[in-house]
Amino acid sequence: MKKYLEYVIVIGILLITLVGVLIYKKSTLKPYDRNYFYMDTYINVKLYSNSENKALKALDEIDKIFMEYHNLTDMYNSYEGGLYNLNNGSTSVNPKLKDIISYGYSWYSKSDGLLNIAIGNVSSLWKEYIKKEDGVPKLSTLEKLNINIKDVIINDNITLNNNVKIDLGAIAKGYTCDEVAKYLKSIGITKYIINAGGNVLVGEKVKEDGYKIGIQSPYEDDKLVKILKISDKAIVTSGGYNRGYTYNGVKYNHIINPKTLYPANNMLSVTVISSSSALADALSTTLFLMDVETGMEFIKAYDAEAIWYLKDNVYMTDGFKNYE
Amino acid sequence: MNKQDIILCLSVFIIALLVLVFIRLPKKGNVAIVYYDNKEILKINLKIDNTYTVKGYNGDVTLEVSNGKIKVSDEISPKHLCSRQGYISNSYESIICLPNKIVVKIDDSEIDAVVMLWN
Repeated sequence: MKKYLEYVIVIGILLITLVGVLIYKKSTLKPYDRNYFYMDTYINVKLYSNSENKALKALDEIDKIFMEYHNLTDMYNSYEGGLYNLNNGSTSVNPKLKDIISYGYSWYSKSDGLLNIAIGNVSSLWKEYIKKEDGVPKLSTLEKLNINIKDVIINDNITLNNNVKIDLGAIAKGYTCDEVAKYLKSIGITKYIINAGGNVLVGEKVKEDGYKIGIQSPYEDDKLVKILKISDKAIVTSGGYNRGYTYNGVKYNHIINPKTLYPANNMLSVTVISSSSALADALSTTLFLMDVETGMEFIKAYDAEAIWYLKDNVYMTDGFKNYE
Repeated sequence: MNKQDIILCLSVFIIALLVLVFIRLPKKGNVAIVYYDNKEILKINLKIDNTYTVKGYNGDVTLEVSNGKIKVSDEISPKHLCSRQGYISNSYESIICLPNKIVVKIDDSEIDAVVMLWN
């Protein structure tokens, strides 16, 4: 009888421990992540969930979202209702693409013409030079290309007049990251890191401090200039020469100023933090095209912070240090 | 219960606790992880100097480990950005070969993400 009792105790302890482990595992948020290759970028999404099934389904769904927006905003390959077709004479445009274009269009007046989605003809020509890493297009050639935003007509459909072409490079990634975050929130996943290279968007914090997000140094590629602690925010960098080239000792980046038709060279990089990734993306491009002083004033109208890196100087908005 | 039974009970309990702890602790170490597209294809011990070859989208990608650092030494791509990048050794760094859909990361990062100069 005594022996029997001992077995019950041992088995009891085992069972309780097992149940404890199972409950612990179930209640613990685990990270799940996946790589994606869209929009000419390496993208990694990590989300925290207590259900593997739900997490994996979400990662599959996110693949579809990125693919859809990649196809819609691709300038070089044809997809139904997509940008390539629109740029080449089609007027039937996917409603989601129309939304991005409308968003981008609104930035023309907000940025006093610096963020101009109608820059397609000029940016495409520069991309050819960036690709071959040789030569620089002539100003007279660039000036003949139409980048007039007034030739973009948005009604029920979108009409592009006088061969004007749209380039959504400045906002497509940021906009899409917001869409991915919206989807995650809609299925109850609130903790996540969406990392699309120069665009990072994070959800609610997992650890007390929030997420630790490094900013790649514009001075030395293999260093970080800052490590920020952020949650529920988007952080976007514009600048750097990773997508540019050097010719005759001069470095050319890929962000073209629509007023000069040449790459901007006010600074090495600018990083923006705000609650929307589309906003941070648009703002960072706009700030990159302005001198720091103008940008400092400009950003005051937005719920956003920024840090500017110049060759010999660093500037930041007052609120930026709250993230350090 | 005799002494042995108590020892048995205690050891079961300790083993269970250990299991709990191990579930919780993330694995850390001097390891590089190589991904092809969305799949992890190789874990590399950075403490041993060696050369590895993996299949990328355009063909073979060669990785070289030396003195705890890793680099892509050979790959097929238009601009060879990732082999031009050279060695990485910091945990927050990664090598990204877009045309080959190969990503190399170091496994013990305290940093959740890096905003890169790609925009």
